[in-house]
Amino acid sequence: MSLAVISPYSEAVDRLIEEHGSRPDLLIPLLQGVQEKFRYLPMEALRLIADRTGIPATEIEGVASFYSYFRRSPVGEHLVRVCHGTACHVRGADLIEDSLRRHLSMSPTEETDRTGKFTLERVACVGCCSLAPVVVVDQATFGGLTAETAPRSLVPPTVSQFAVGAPSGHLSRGPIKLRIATDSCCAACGSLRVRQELEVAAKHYGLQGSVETVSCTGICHQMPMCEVLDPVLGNVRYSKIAPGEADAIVRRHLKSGIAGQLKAGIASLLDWISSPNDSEPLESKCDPRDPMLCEFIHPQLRIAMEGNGVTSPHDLAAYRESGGFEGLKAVREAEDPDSVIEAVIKSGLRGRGGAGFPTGRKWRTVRNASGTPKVLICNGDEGDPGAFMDRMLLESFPFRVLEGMLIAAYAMGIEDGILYIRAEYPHAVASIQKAIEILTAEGLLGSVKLRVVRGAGAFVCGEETALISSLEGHRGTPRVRPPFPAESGLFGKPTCVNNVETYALIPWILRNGAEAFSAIGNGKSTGTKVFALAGAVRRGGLIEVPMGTTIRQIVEEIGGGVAEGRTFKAVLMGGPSGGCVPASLADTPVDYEALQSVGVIMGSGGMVVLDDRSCMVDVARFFMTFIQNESCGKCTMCRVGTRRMMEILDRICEGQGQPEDLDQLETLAGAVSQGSLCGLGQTGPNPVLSTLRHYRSEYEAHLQGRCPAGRCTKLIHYRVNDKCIGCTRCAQVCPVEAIQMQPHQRHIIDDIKCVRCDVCRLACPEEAIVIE
Amino acid sequence: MSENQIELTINGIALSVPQGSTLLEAARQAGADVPTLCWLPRGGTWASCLVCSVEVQGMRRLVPSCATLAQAGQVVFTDSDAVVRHRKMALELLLSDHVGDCIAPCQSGCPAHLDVPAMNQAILDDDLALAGRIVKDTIPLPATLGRICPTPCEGRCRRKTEDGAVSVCLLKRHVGDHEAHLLDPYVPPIPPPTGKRVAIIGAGPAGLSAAYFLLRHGHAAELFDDHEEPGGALRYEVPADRLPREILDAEIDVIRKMGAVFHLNTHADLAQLIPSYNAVVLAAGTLSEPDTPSGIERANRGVKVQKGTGQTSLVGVFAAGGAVAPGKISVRSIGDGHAVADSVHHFLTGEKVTSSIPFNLEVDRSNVTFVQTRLQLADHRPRTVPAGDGLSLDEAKAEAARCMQCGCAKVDSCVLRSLATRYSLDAAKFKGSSRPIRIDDSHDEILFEESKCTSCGICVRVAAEHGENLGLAFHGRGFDTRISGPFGEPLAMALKKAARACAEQCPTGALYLRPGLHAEEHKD
Repeated sequence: MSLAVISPYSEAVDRLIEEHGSRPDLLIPLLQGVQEKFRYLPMEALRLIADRTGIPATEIEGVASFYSYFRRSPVGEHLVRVCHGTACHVRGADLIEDSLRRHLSMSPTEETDRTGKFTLERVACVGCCSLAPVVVVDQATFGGLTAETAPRSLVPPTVSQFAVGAPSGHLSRGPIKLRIATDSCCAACGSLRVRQELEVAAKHYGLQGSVETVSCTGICHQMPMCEVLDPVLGNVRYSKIAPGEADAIVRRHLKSGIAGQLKAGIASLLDWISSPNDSEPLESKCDPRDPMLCEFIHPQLRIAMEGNGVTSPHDLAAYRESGGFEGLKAVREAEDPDSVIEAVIKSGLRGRGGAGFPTGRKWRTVRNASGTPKVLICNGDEGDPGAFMDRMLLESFPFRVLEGMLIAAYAMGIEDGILYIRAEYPHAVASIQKAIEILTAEGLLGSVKLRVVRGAGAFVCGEETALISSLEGHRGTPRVRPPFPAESGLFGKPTCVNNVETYALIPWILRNGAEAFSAIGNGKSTGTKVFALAGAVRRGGLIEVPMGTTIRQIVEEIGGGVAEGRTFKAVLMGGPSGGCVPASLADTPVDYEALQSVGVIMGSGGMVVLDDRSCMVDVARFFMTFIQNESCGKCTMCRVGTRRMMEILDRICEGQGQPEDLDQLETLAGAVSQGSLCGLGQTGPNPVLSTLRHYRSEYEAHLQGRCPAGRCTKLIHYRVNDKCIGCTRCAQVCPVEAIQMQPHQRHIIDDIKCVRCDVCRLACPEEAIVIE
Repeated sequence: MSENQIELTINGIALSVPQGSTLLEAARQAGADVPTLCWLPRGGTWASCLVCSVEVQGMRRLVPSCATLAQAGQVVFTDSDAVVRHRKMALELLLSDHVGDCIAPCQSGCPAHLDVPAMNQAILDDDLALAGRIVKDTIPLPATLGRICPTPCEGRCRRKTEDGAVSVCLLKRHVGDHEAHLLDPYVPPIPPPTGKRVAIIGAGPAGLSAAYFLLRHGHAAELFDDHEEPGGALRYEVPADRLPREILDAEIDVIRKMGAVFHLNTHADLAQLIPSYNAVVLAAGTLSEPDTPSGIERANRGVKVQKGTGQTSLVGVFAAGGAVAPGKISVRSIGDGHAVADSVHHFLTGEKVTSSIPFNLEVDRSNVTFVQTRLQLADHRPRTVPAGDGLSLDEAKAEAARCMQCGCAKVDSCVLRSLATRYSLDAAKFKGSSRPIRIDDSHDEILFEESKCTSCGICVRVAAEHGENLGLAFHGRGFDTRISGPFGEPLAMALKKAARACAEQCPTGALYLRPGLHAEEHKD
């Protein structure tokens, strides 16, 4: 069948095929190209691809409909993506989505609003967990939203808020350095604008210094933040910088120079005249010995994140100065690949993707496996919807990840390396691509070829056999193991798949010795682990701690505990494959075995803190919904079993649960984890089992129609108590007119109209609105 | 031992299999009956249904035997408690997402279990002879019943609430009358005699039916009745203007031709019959307490029997019809006679006498979508009002065309159903959402009933094997994974070569040949 008719898609498809090639394994990049061009996958373009490449139509249909990144129908002018990651969920992502839908008059199932202006998408996680809840509108990320403020994100931004690692060297190097990190989540907090303002101000006042873009500091809760290295004033950190404050920061560090001083003086005067009086004085933000910050930083030990907040992601010279590529150099000079593997074995390093398989042993299997050419894969398909350390490592420390891969490639005799990175992480992709270009230009890759392949939105592709299917251009369905990828992986070749963080730890081990690494940690869990600390914790961020640090130390010391008036309830670890550790077990150290003994897993490093406002049944339902959305649909247990589990949890959360539901839920959980083909199904029931184990009474309360945490909307009612002063705030903000405005009188909430959006409760100045 | 052989133990049996064998192949070699659903005996592994999973000692999880290579020294169990529990779970999960009727409600509602959809299809196909054979597989007296039956089947017809039930009773009568008026009516084939003799007390509908089905099993049947002629209540209670006697005679005559011996004007005494016959059936209608032979226990209303088998408290003595519960309608007595004949057959052949009811799935009556979808496939005219007495041929065909063919085309070959029967599964164990109810009827040879699909992917693989230009694809993921033509193409475009092969190899009734088409009519 030939499509000789000239089609509007014909030329674009031909160009994309020319660019990417027509090999079946390149189908996903090809489809990504089509989507980027047309913002969805027009049926005709798909037919053309089948026609021109010879890739079977069934394969194209299968792939195009499998990955959530691909859209099959046109989208509105603006794409609004509501993050439904774990941290966002516990901070009310559902309320945010409801609010946006209400604002746009969209039903719960509509994708695009009636004006065709906005298309709303639910996304699994955008990896900005410390800013939860998050909405991404086109390229702009908005964090810390409430149901009331969410609609403001729909006003299109005037300036593009993103640009990764843009050079900042147009200012001459001087004694003063202004360091600012601008990776995805910092940028979402406005760091790019702050950087721009800093640059403008520095230029304006002729500051003797430079504005430098540096790697992620991990101190997400203080963003946007700028660290100023000033020989006179010392090192000063400015956190939570508001728009317009950059100018004042620069002025504070101005040195001599009459012109500058004069300009600054005038500016101050103008400030004095024009500035509203509600902003905090600048001074309070810049105590260099901020005890909070010390508590946050002190217990940490940075190996994967070494140099965080200091080095610039793509400054190769700086990376080298700090010992970068020493490990690789030593390895290549020693010409003894076996000793590298020995060192990795001796270091005790275990896979940081979650399962904790000894890395060195995997390397040895691949090295000894017959079949060439062997393949090296960096698994950057960070799927845990509450984790973003892999994104951060790829954005902020690309050279370290690549060095780790190059060492691995050398140790196993591999020349073909692939980084498989989530499509939801465009900045990570750009960062790593730029780093590869730099290393290629420097000749550091040697005979190794590295390429980046973007995922297309499928959690299951974090599972190595599904990832390999995806790289081969297929639907991301797992295969039965054995054979393991180390023996028969990509296109049947021996394949080493390691996680981003695992590679990022390798250079340090080779540079400092296996013993130095194994000296850190606890028992069979050596070294450090990076965690994305988020949820109901005061100081969220990216942290790296020695294995063996207790959960309590992380939550209470580093994280500063939960908000005042709330109680620490539990942490969620291991994402949808993990479970909860109740506060009573918070003295459990983070090591693989200890965590397993309390019914969770290390996972990839998501750590979401819950306080007493979190409902554990709701959490279980959230994870089950996630798992059944992400199930590939191949094996019966996972495909149908997880759906049935979710439906039971839905019923329970809606007050429709039956006493026998708990037994059936447990039976199903056991069967799904026993019988599923791959890790997704095998571990998917863990959150349910773990919450049932520790919080069965909460499940039972739901069966009786109560949600003790006041979270499940079908089981709660909003009431105004006698603290009401009749200020009418609640009535003003209520989006559905469930509260009549009655000045100076106690207000009443119409329970039937009320949508439980929580806006009134947050707006009330007197805590007069309570949940029953 | 050859170098290319490996040794392992399956269910305690040590055996040696060629290297590269899967555990499934090895298990079958060991004589283990490991069921499969998504497996094709060729072309790599797929491993999705998990029905074939087995337990390997020392492994933490069960493994799909079709996709796991046998390894030396393995100790494998194919039917351990864990395996059976897992298998049942997988099947019950599949059933929870499987919407359809195994047996059409009219058929399950008919006490004699007449295969109504098949009869209707044969009438529609102008094959009254076939229709006659189908009817006579369950009802020995169709022309008779066609005049007096209170039609419980029509009460359950899915069209009843739409535009009137299909006139099943009149259609059956049409088929029966056609037979009854033939000079050489159909006489069911009789297997070689088994040498067993059964005495049947009473030659009414239950007794006649018991005799008819015993004869079809190859046993000798002798009927004892104190009346002058056979027929029981049919002859002595139903007015002749409702049931012309020549119709009844013609149908009883067929039973006589099959070899039934009638001892009329004869009062039978159970105690005397027992020593002379291999089994006895009590089928003489209502049996009062004083008339009940000694040794036969009674329940409230009649003879006490084992449910479904008709076995009385006296070994070798069975009871059917009014003897068990008075006032039974004829069609129920006929169904009873059939069931008892099967039980007697089991008894005579030394099998265990049990009523084994095969698994049956039936769509809830409240499911409007199901009815609307099936309605699309049937003739839209309202229920036929016959111009004369009974239906004319044209009227019969028009009425048969109204049948929505609710039952499953694969009722006897469906893997899911046979496994559900084998493991006594509960289809309602898991409640929840299920596949959309849709029928793709674009193809002129096959139909695709999506709600019966199990996503096993056999059709996808078969279509690919046939080198289809488009073929069938998996669409979507997770619970919502569907099978469809790529790019929204209907079946007619997707399958140009493989349609019949796909329909034949589909393990359930999701893909099937259009009613009226038969497997042997292969085009190529």
